[in-house]
Amino acid sequence: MGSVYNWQIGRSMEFPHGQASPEEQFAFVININRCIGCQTCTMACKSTWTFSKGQEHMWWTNVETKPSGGYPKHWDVKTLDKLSEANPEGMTWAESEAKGRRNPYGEYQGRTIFEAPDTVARGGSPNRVLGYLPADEEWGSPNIFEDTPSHGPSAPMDFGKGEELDDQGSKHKAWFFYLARLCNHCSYPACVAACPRTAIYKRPEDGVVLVDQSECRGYRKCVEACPYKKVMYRGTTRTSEKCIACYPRIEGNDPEAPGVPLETRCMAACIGQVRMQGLVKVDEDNVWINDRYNPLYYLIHVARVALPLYPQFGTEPNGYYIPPRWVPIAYLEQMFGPDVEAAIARYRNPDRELLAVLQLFRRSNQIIARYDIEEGPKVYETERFGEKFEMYNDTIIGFNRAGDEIIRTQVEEPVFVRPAKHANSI
Amino acid sequence: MNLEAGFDDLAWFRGRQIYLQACASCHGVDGEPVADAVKFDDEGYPDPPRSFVKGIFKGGMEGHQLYSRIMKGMKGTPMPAYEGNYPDDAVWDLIHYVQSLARAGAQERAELRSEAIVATRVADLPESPTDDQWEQARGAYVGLAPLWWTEKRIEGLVVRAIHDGEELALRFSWLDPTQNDRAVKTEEFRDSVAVQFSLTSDPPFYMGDPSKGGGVNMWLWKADRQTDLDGGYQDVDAAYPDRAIDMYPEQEYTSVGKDIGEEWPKGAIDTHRARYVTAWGAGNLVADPTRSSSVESLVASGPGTLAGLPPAIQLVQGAAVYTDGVWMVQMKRSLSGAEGEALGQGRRSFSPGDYIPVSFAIWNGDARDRDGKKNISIWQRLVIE
Repeated sequence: MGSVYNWQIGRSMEFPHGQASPEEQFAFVININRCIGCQTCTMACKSTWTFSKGQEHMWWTNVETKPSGGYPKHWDVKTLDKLSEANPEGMTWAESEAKGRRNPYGEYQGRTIFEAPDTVARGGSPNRVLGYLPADEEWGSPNIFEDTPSHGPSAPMDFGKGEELDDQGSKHKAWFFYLARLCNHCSYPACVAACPRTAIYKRPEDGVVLVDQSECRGYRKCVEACPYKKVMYRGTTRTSEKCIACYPRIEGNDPEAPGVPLETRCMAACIGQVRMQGLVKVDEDNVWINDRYNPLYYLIHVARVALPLYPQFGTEPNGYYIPPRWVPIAYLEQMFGPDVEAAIARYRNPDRELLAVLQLFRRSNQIIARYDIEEGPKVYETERFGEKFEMYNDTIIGFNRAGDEIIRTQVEEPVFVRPAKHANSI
Repeated sequence: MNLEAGFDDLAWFRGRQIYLQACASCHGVDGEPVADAVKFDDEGYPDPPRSFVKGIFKGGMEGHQLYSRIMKGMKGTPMPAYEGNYPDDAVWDLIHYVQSLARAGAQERAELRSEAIVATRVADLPESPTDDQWEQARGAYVGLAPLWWTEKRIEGLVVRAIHDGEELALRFSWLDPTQNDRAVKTEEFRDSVAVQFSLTSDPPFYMGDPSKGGGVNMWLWKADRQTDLDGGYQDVDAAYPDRAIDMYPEQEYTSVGKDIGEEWPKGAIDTHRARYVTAWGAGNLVADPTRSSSVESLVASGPGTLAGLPPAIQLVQGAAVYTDGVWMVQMKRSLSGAEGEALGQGRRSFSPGDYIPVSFAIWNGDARDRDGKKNISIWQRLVIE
C-alpha cells in the first residue's frame, strides 16, 4: 500500500497504487437546484454507447431521485452502511487550522473504503477495497422510487423537514431532489485499486478511467469495489464496462469542433442547462493548481458552491454538485461533506462574479478553458435572507482551449417579445 | 492440566452430555454449527462458530490444544472460557467426544500431500469423461485448500492421466453440490478447474515467478464455456428469456445471407457486429462467443501476469459431464502441443519418461470464486509412462 494525498478529505490516505497524477483532470459540475429529472442526459449516453446486446441494464449516466431512489438500488445507502461498520465512531470531520486548496473542507477523521482491511476481510472475499456486489434485481429498475418524497415523521426515511426556499420562514415537509450521476473518474479510483489484472487504468493525459476491453477477465472486483457502482458487468461478453467520458470528444476528435475538446454527450445534451464539464490542472498530489478563470476552478475553489459527492469514500471523485437548497442540511452533509451549509448560503445569495459564471452553463458544447467578464450596469437590488443582493448586467465571455471566443452572454438575457399578430405562428 | 484420561462408551456418554449442555447451542447437536447462532467478536464483527465434522480446527485438534481452548476460551471471539465449570476428567470426556465428531478421514484428507499421477500409455484414448477407458488409469486423490476460507470449499479432486503416444488426456472429478455453468448475470460465477504445468523440472512458486524458467503453462476449463459449446452460446436471452427489447440498432438484421426472421431482435450473438460487442471486438478471448474449446491455455510468471495464448495456438480440447453432484472434466492435447510447428512460447510439451511438476485449482461458482479466490493443491508430479 502506498500513501497518497486526498485534498477532499484534507489528509494522506492509503491507496494500493501510490501517488500519481494526470497532466489534466476530467471534472464536472452539476447544479442540482436546476435539474428537472428529464433524463435527456441518460438517453444521450444510452443512444451513444450502450445500445447493444448485453448492455440493456447499463446506464453509464443516470438521474435518480433522492432520498428514496438509486441505481443500482440503494447503492449509496449500502456503501454507507458498510463504511459505518468500519467507522464505529462515525464518519466525522475536524476543522483544519488554515483551510486552502489542500484541505478546503477540513480533515476527515474516519476511515475510507481503502482503509478498512479488517472490515473487508470479514466479508469473506479477498478484496482490497470495502464494497459489495449489487444483486441482479438492483440493476433492473433504475427509476423505481422516482419522484418519491421523504416519508412522514414516523417512517424510517424521515430526515426532517426541508429547508427554507425563501426568507418568509416557510418550510416544506416533503422534499426530494434529482441526482444526476456518471463515473466520477476519481483521482484514486476504487475500480483501479481492485482490479487484480491491472486491466483498468487512469489516462495520464486527462485522468479518464478506462477498462481495457482486451484485458478484462470479468472477475467483477471493480463492480464490487466502486462505491458509486459505475462499473457494470456485461453478460454477453463476460467482461465489465464503464463510462469512457466520451473520450473521442474530450480528445478533440469530434467533427463538430475539430481540434478542440468538446464536452461529453450527457453534458452537451442537458436541456436544463445544469451541467458543465471541463479539464483542470492538478499538481503531483492531485491538488488543483490555481487557474483562476477556469470556470470549474472558480466554482469549486473560489466561489466554493460545488462540492464532491461522498468525499468520505476516499476516491477523490471529480464530479461536483451545487447542493439543493431545500433539503435538510444534515442529509446533505452526509452526501457532500461539512461545507454544505456555507455552499448553499453562497449560492442562494450569489455575488457578482458567481452570477456571471452561472450563465456559462450550456452556452457552448466546447470545453471552456477560460472566462472573462466585462462589467455592466447595476439592474436590480433587493434584500434576501437578511443580506443585500445586487444584480449587475455583466457580460461573460468564454474561450476554448485554442483561446478562441466561443460564447458571449449577459447576466440579463435579452428578451424578445413576439408581436401579437405572430403570437401563435410557428 | 491433568493427564489425558481414557475414552470408552461411558466417557462418550458423559462427553456428549456436557457437549449438549455447554456447546450445542452454538456448535450444533451434531457438530455442524447452528446457522443463526452467529455471534460477534470484540470489534463487533460477525464470528460464526466452527464446524467440528470437517476436520479443520483453528488451533489444531490435539487433546492439549482443545483443552486450552475450552478452559481459556478464545480471546476476542465469542468462545467463552469454561475453566472452573467442570472437573478435569469431565473436560477430557468432552474433548474426546468433540474429536470423535470429525468425519472419518476428514483430518487426513485436509492435509496436503504430494502424489504421483501416472499417465498410463494406452491404445485408445477416451472420447468422453465417462468412457470406460478411464478405468485403465489409476486415480490419485489430491487435497485442496481454499486460499480464502469458505464453508463452500472444494475439499479435493481425483485426477487421472492417460496418453496414446500422440495425445495426453487428463480427467478431473470432484464433488460439488451445485452446478454453476452460466456467467451472464452480474451475480453468476462459474465452476472451473485448472491444471498448471511447470515449464521446468524444478517447480517455481505458485503461478510461476519472473525468474528464467519460472514460467507456468495453465489449462483452464470453465463450466459456462462448456455449456456454451454443448447447447449454444448463453447470452442475455438465456438469463432473461422474457425481457422486452425493441431493437439493437447495430444488429445486422438487414444484411444479406443472415436471415434472422422471427428471432429478430433476439437473434444470436453472431448476428451482432463484433465492434459493438466491445470486448469481443477488442480481440479479448474471454469474450469471444465463437471460441471452439471450453479450455483456455494460458501462461504466467507470477501473480498478476496471467495471459491467454494467442487464439491460433489454443489447442487444448475439453469435455465435461455433471451428474448427481459430481463434475467430470476431461482435457486433451497433443503431447508436443506444437501441431507440427516449432514449439510456441510458454507451452508445455510432454514426452514419455517426463516427470513434470503439476498443481491444480478449482473454483466453486456457488461460493463466488474467481481470480485468487479458489481451492488449490500443492505441487504434484505427473509421470508420462
